[in-house]
Amino acid sequence: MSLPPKSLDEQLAALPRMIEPPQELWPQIEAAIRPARRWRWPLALAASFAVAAVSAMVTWKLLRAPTLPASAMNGASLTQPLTAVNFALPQQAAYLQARAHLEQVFRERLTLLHPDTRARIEANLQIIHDADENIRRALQADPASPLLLQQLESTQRQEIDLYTNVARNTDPAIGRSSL
Amino acid sequence: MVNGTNRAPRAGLLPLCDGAQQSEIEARVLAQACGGDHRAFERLYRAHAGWVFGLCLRLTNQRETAQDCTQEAFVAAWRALSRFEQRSQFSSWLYRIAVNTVLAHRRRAGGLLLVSAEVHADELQGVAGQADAAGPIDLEQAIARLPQGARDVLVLVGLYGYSHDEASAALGIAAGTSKAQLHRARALLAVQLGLNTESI
Repeated sequence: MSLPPKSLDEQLAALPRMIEPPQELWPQIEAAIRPARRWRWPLALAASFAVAAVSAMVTWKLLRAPTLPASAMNGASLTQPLTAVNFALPQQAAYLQARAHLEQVFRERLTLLHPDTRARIEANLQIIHDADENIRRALQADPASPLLLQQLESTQRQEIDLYTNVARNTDPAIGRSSL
Repeated sequence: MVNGTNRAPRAGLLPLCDGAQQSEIEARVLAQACGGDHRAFERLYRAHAGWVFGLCLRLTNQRETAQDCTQEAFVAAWRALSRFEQRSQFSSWLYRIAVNTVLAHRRRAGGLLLVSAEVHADELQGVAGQADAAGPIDLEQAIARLPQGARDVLVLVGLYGYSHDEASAALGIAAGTSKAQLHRARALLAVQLGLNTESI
């Protein structure tokens, strides 16, 4: 003898309400709700980067103002052409060579500047170096940080810009007679 | 109409505790989650994921979409936790979010989430197998074949304990329409299952 069919309500009541997801969903959920990673490098680093940027700007403006007579300029490297620096591959030998040459020109031409101007430019360069060092330290803790890498590139660019500005603005070939 | 559909889900939290203890513990876990504790929110997820996925699967008829909706619902719940009023029931609040997520998915898909009865039935076979052999499978297939409007109301009211007011608000229909759709769904199910339609 067969049992009478269950009523619709009985069948509905017998349906399981819980159905476990076939895949574990928590990892994706957790990834979605995890707050954006906080930067581990200190605020001072950001501040030093900002100061470095301002320093570079100040240096650039400083070099726009004539402060030293042209007669003060001489020396072998003064007439050497500047080498363009390619930022794309900073570890390449060509980059390092060009950078070294540019720095050499910068150091030589720095001596031509008025002592006050030279002191300010050196101070600004030190700020850029400090920012660079801070960023490198932060990168040791967070090597893949795109923001840090971007800032590192930016400080390097500022350093090169500073060298270039000094070298170009003291270049006798372009007729700029004084700084 | 259906016994037990208004029970809040409890499995997964602390199954050995009685209801009062569980409520107290869930409230504490909930408070921790509201404070930003991921581990506490994971416990809530473990307790409710099965219910949310079941709801999403029956509303969408597609496993992948149901998984996406479950995931989105929990993420949305996390983001809205600060607005959750502790005096209301977390499960009800969470299921509202899940239903809204499914409906939003449907809108985004432009109505592509229409009934795919075979897929749905396949997904549910394993689940139904744990209950009475033939009945639940047939019923799941029959539910999956219902027109969307009727199925939505049957799932919410008939299975997950929504009132008609809650279901109509969630689905954006009138309460009278919800009642009519439920009646229609039950009649269609009875026909499909070979039951006596006079008692529907």
